[in-house]
Amino acid sequence: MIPMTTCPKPPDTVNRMGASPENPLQGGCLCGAVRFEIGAPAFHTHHCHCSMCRKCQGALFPTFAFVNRSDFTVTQGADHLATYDSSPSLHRHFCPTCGSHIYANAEEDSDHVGFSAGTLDGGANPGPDGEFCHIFWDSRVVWYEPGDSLPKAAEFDLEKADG
Amino acid sequence: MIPATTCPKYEESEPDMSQSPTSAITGGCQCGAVRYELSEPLHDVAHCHCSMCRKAHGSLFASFGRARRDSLALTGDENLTDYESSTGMVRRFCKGCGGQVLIMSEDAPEVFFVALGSLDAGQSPGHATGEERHIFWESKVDWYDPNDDLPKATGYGE
Repeated sequence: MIPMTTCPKPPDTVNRMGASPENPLQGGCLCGAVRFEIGAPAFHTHHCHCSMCRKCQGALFPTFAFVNRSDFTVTQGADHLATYDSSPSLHRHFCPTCGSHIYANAEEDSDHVGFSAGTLDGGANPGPDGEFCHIFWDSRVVWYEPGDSLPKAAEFDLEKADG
Repeated sequence: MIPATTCPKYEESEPDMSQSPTSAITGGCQCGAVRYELSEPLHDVAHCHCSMCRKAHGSLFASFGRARRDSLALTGDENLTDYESSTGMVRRFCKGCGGQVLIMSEDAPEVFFVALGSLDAGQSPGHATGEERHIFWESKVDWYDPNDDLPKATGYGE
């Protein structure tokens, strides 16, 4: 039996007012080597069910939140990040010490950054007023299906989001 | 604009739903440097909402199944990095792609836990009906609820 102390509840000190330049939302990897902040709320957040995201992060559907690149800053450990190119133009950046995937950027879109919403401190909402959806829904695992009412898209098209 | 091709459907064979529960369960990391095969189905699937799993996986919860260590055939383990996220509890991920694959706990030396996102082709872990629940539900983010009918436990629940 794994003792309960292995999974403590985080301190509830998170900014729940929404990110702004004066009051950014903070996040980071599990070990703390890499830290980042967003200076504006995410305009689009999706739960990705594609097999590449599942296997890159070992979860059933990693969640990515999108902000303008100018609103995303790695404040600590930028030189520490490892990069894995899951396709030639998509660069996924993770902490090589603890394995947390922090953010990904596509060469086709230098204007935006998608970061792993699960890495925000205290489980903060990346963008309460943005859009939320599932993508690559048809690639979901055969044995678990979330029952929420969010839109389910077959693919990913950020152009349709309000960026 | 991120084209749809940046997150393509992976060219994996579709899961064979006709396989018997005793068929081998296989998986690995995204880049393929770490692979495993299990000689028996997984048990006690847990969707964990704790803050450590959220940060390790970058997802809102992380899902695990339990198996006996002697059921595991692991290849490429030299490509794994170990991170001890709490005393005696080691998360093992691929140093090439960052894919979380396994958890080993010193408190449970006979078993280990598979990060279920690493299973090939989204196949079932093979667990029995009723052997699935959410854990550390009290740590769930307050802005997403998977809204399923599974039991929700505080902590590990027992």
